[in-house]
Amino acid sequence: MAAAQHKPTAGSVCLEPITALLSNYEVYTIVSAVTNGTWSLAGGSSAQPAPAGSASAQPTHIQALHTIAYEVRQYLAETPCHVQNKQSIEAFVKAVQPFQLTKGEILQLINLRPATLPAMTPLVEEIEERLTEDRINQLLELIQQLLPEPPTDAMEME
Amino acid sequence: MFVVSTFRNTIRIHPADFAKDPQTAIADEINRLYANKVVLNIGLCICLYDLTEVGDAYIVSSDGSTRTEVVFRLIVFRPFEGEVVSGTIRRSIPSGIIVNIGTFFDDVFIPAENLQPGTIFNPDLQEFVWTFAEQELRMEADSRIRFRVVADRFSDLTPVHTEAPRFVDNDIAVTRTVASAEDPYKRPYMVIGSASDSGLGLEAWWE
Repeated sequence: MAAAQHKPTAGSVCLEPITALLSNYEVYTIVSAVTNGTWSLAGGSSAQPAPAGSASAQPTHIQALHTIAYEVRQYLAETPCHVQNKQSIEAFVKAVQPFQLTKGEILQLINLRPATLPAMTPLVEEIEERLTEDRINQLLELIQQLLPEPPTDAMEME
Repeated sequence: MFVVSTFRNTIRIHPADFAKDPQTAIADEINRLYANKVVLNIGLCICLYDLTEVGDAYIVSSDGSTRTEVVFRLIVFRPFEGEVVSGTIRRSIPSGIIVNIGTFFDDVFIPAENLQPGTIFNPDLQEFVWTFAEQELRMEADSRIRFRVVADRFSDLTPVHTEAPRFVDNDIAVTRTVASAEDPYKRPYMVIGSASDSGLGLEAWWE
């Protein structure tokens, strides 16, 4: 550690409000790790190497972190992302390229996994002007095939 | 619904935490500062995503703690404009519907004019009712509702002190009012929604 040069506290500055969009699946993975106690900087999402000689001090309990992670996890566990995985999302993004959807539209299709046309209509702007009926059906097909189907209440009761 | 935001801050590590691995200590401190907090004009912070740059740690005189400049990324809840989100109706008031997203975000408001055409507030039920094809569809509390994000409103809730009453022209007392005193329900981050498009509104309607 460098010695006592007085360095004024800079305060919190946001350098970039939106660096990237995250899929619900990615967030679900992270908050699940936090609530399980298995989240670590190295294991997390970046290429940070594991620090050498890590002291195993008592893990700090940060209440606000556990509250928000638990609540976000509860919410996302009821959405299609909880049965998704990296491979199916990557396959879907690739397959959907020819449809010329925006990034936000593709993200919403992944997060909400619409199974019917009425569910998909609000997600793609002017869907009936941009896509023919055949293309719309193909898109619904792709969603059904490539993105895992979340269990419905009926299935869970069996 | 979630984004990654990049921040810079000077992170203070207390001597009690010197036994921790430095990166873990920094991560914990960042989570302590930001988790479950709204940052003005950015969104509701969830947790640390990763550390981008960790500077040198300095010890400031008269304080045993170290201070390190860190550039880091956070996961932030910030649905984008036009995004369709699923929530739960908390309650309805004549001007609109208050919706929760899970239990982690309570401040979504759908103004009455952003509901399906033909939706009217019923004061006896304290609910909105959509009359469609001669059916009366009630928007009951605790129903799942799908809406589109139209706008977000951030309010700076930094406490502002009121000026003491003072006399002007020797006989008139003037008090400066505090902006937030006019609206006690002001929330730091409020999402304004719309459920007027086809496919939006109660999920039960479109199944």
